[in-house]
Amino acid sequence: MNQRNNSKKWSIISKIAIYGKGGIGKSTISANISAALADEGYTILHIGCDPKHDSTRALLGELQIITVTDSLKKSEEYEISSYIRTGYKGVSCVEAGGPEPGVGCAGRGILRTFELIDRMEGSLYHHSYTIYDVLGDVVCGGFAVPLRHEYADLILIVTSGEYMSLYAANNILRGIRNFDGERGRIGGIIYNSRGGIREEEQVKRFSQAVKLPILITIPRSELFLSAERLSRTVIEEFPDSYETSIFRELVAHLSSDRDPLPRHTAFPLEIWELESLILERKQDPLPIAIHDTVSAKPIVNMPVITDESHSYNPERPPLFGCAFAGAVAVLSQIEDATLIAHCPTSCAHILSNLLISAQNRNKFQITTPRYYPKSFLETGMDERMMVFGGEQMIKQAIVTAAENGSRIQFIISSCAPGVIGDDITGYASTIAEQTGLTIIPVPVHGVLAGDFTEGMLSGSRAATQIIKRDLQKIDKTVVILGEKVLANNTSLNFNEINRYLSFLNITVVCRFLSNTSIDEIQLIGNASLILPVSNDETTQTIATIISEITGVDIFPCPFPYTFHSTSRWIKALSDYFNVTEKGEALISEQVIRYQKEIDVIKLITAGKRVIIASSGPDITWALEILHECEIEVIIAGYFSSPYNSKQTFISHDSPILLSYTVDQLYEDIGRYSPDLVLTTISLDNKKCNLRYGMIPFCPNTGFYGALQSMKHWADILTGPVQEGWRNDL
Amino acid sequence: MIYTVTPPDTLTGMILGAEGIPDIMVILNSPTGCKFYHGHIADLKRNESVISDPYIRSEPWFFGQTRIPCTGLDDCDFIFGTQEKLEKLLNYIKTTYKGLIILINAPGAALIGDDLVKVIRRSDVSERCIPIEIPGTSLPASGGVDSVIVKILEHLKPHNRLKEEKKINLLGLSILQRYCEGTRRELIRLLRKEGITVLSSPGAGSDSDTIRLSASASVNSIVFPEYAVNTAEWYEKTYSIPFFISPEGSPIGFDATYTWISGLCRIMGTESTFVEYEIQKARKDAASAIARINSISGWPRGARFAIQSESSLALPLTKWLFSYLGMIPVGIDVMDGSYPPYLQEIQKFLQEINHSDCFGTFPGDKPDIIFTDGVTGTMMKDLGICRGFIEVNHPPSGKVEIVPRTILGVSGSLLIIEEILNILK
Repeated sequence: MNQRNNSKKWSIISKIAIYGKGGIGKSTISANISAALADEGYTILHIGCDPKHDSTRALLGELQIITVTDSLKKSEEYEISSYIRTGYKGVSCVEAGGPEPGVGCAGRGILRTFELIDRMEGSLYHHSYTIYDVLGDVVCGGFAVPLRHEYADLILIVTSGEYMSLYAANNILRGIRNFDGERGRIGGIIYNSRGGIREEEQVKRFSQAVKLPILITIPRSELFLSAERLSRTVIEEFPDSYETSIFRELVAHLSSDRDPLPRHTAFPLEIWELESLILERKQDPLPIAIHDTVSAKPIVNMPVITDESHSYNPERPPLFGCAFAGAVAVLSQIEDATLIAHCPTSCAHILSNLLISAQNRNKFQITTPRYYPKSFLETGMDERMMVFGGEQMIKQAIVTAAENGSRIQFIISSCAPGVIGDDITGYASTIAEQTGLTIIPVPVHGVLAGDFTEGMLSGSRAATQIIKRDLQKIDKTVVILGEKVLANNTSLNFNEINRYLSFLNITVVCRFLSNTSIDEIQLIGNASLILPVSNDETTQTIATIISEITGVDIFPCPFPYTFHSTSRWIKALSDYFNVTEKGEALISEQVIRYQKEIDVIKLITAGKRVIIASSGPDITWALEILHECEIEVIIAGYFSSPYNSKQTFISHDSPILLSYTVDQLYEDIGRYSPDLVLTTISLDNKKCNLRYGMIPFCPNTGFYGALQSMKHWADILTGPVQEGWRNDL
Repeated sequence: MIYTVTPPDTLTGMILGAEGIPDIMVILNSPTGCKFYHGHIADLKRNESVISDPYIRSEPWFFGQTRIPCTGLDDCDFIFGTQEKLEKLLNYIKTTYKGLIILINAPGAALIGDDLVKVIRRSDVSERCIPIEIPGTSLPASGGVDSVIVKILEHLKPHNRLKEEKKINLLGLSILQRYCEGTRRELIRLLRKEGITVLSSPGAGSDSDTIRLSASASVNSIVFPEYAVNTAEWYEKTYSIPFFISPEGSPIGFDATYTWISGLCRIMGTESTFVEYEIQKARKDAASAIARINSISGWPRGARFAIQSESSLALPLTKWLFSYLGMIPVGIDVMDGSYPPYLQEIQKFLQEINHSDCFGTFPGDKPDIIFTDGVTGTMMKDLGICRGFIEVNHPPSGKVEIVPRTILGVSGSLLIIEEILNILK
């Protein structure tokens, strides 16, 4: 024992976590500590927290057969006693186990083991000491579980004098610092010598720098190897050896009631300090990563986050929904493709509800429900899959889909597979090779790839993989691109546009991706033109990708909402396809009817004054129809919001404010007393008493799209200033 | 293969189980993708008159909704941990909300193993925040409700007082189920007429103070065992309160309603005369309506039905539709997590009536009416798979409901008959 501190009375130790770099000998040391404690007559629970499950080998004389994670693998629920085997002098041995190297999540296996330990605490298994032998480094939250206060009241760190071993020891101190702050829980260092030059000096320097004692020094000794060959501890095999006496001395201090071992605070070094100390490199302090929150020293020049600050880091605005949902939403529009959602059931529940509800809402707007997604399979990730990965379940889903005649399968991953590193791209490639099926991975990993829009983009990109190349162009055929599949009026808008296209003898070969099929997507290259629904960034990106694959031109005008924009859209389209006369006929037959309707509305609206304020949706179409109906727009603005980029806003004669606020809106209502406010938010009737109408997020398209909204707003102008129910809120 | 809504799992069960207690705040450690749906459903089920606007509502962590604040995790948080965001969220919530907090890790967040207890301690809310680190993934939602209610009870520690005669708790009701409020009202009404008082219904509208008084109940009566067996066992172990599970399933249909109420009355030492009278009266009203339709069309005899639900509902419903209305089962799909004794009873019954082939299929061969969730029901009706549907599970169809309704008890039995006749006529 190198250092002792008797100045403070320490609590009695019963749970000891032993950490150290992989291969440094901590399993050997932990097993000998358990054996030495057992020799003293204590009851011991020895828990190996290493996927290779060899911690208890020396205590049992063989490898533990059933590990805790085995129960997950075999989908069997064992009795607690099944996991516990009795070894040397009655030591109870448990191995956490883990998945095969390179798959699944070993940390999750550790978490599962500690759930078992929680259950054991309420059972008959009581031990004087619990020894945790924990894998090399604090690699993730799972491996850090033994550090949690309820599990370990003493932490011992095993290291040699080699740099990487000391580096790992320092990392462990960083983890402990993160958990404990100034609280002391570290007993000290167990120096396991490798016999290197100046090794002892390096360990001593490190121990002094991090303010930890070296509890024992274990020499390099053949006795350890001899005992290991027999799957035994040196305590058992060489009870009278010097090596055994070292462990006995340590456990005497560990088990002392009168003079328990002092516990120390973690003071990890910065990397440059460690390198300077051990490698004797002269280095300046390195810039510190933003995420580094465990340093023992104050970090300079870092933004300080106070309790009063509840806002997000402006560099990382909150994500709206997840990419998994976006990808599933667009790919579910391919009627004869199978979607394999690799996710927990909760994600599948949310998504299936969202998609079917959207279809249900659209039912009155389609003549015949031609398509419904018929194949949506979920892997239902459970605890077992979280540890071992989902390859088997994905294979099973692929086979099921293939048996049901599925031609193409998309595998889409949620957050959980992303976190455990499930390689769906690898699975897809292997299975496709074995079976000859077309399997397309969409590894968005839930929110890891971004928000809902990002997922729509990823899903659409994946679908472009099935487009056939070098197809002959067919005249007067188009691809419609970027319909809003979750809107209530998707089908209504398509039907309206398709009516115009039919009039011009133009055929839609594919709606990408809305109510479509594999065949239609494959033959996109036959089309002469891509018709984007909007000019937002996502739609334009997908249009560019398809155009690059197929050589199909992109039409520059998005779907129109007003009479005049529809006329321009039809004119441009009919010119493109050399059916100008037909286009003119289509427009001219609407002019008189439209003008009549406007004249009727103007009887109500002419001379009225409006404020229009949107929290995202485009308002330029609304400004056009308001103008036509001789309404004066006092203020037009977009609320400032993390969710709108304003990249798509089109310039207009009326000045549009781009950073309007709700407070300004209420002020302007008070100042100008408009006849009507058009907005996307609910107005507080206590703050203003006036008529207001909502701006639709997805307006109807075509000659009469904007007019339909205008008619509704005109009706509001003829109704009461405020409805009675608002007084009851 | 027909596309149906995937049933909810433990996460939804835990969230809505806790949200059924009005003065509890559920916090999710998750991306917003897990939050928006649950925030919407919780808001809908609680029917609070607060307006949401996801684009403009400025309150942090709520992302424009009124319920279920969340950390809004992104890819960086999955690498560097969620503790910083969690601490900021808890520090915000503790200043704006004074009640009990349930902090739940969504599956992705649970994987990275962040120490919720430590964050709670650092945020100084240990006294009123329950961490749920591993909600369990892809397990039945009913179990999630059951386990979160037990955790809340453990925290609230109901006062251990003398047992009060003829006072019970209703267990196994949750806002996750369809028509929770209407069901609660109907059962309270029927029991009150028999002289039995309901002290509390944890997870179905009772607040923390009411739940703290629940240990005075002399019996716990379980409506849906899938949602409450652990809760009932906890009461029994902690306060020696016995529990009652009806042998015929939940009180749906005249027969099972009578069995449920009269069974409870026997235990409580009271008569069940009111329910007996009310059921007789209801049967007469129902018979008149059925006779009118039957005399014209022959319905509902021979109408085909399919059920997708938990066994506590499927058992009494199947028996009642078959024996009382003469309807024929063509698809009975019992959901995961169902109460095993009822499951066996259904199989036994179907065998007795020579319809065991329909067990495990849904919607089966050309059903006229299906009993399922509102979203699946709407879709199947639109596709022409059935003539109509009756909502018995979450999620709802989206129809606005103001008047509390139920499919349980006497009123619920009449509502089911009414719906069936309207579909078939």
